[in-house]
Amino acid sequence: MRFIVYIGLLLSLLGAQEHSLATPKEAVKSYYYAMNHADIELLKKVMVKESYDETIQIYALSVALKDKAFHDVLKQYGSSPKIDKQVEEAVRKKLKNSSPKVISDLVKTPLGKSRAMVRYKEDGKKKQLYTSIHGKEWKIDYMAGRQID
Amino acid sequence: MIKNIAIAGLTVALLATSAVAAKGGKRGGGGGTTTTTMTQDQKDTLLFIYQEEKVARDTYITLGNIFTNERTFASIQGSEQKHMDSAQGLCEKYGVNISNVDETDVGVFVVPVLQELYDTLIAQGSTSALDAVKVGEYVEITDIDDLEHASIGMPDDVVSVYDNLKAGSYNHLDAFRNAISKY
Repeated sequence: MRFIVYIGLLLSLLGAQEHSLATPKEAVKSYYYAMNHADIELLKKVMVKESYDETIQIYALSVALKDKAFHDVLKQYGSSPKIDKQVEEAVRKKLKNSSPKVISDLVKTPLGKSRAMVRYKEDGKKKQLYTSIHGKEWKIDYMAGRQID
Repeated sequence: MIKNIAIAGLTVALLATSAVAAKGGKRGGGGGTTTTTMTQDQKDTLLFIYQEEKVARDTYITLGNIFTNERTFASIQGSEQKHMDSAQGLCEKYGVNISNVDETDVGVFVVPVLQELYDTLIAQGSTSALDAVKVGEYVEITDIDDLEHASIGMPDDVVSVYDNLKAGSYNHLDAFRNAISKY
């Protein structure tokens, strides 16, 4: 019985680790966890709102190009929670059907006190994401690509 | 900076069955500001616009290479490079460090969401020459909208550069719509 409790505790700790935003690197790992698991709610948590909105709309674009009705929905993104849910659901389905991406070699480059860039490899290709700090959490922020402090 | 209005433009650019759509938006504009400094937010925007310009340039290069008989791309590619150069000039003038942005490889983007945008545009545009020029139309509508928003409150010289970029984008838009009308 105690063994099962330990296993449960271990799994919950591992789960918590996947959602950590304690460092810029953890934020990037959480972003990929969210993308790979089509976890839109988590994606929302790991990104600043403007970047999240942009991500959702860009990922929804390929769906909209093939579906006129959905395109009309996408045009209204941001106008109501119901519309946003529809767009997010389309992106969730798209992500679910996408191959998971593997990241490696994460290196943090500070951009002052409140921002940091993380360089890494995504399926072997060079990538980078920018992060900014919000309270104690680092979040993906496309606009944080330069040093300000 | 795919904004709702740009998505609206997509209807015209990619899904409409009619060949040529009426022109929307206004030329020029951007503000009559006398500001001479740039806020941190504006500098952040400038850096992102610089990265987005590469999406447009690379999309045209790639689609132009696929549809070599469609001359619209070839005639616009050089101009798109000038757009990037103009944005780069502003970044340098206002101390916006662009050294983290690698613009050398066509179709390669270090920021994942820009890679996704490029891949989506190429997937859509590579299906036919008509789809390719419709993608061009969409990119220009998006560019014009982004520049319109980005001009607000910017220093005069930036507004001037943005106005020039917008004028160029309107010319490109005309060229793409002209090409669309021929299919």
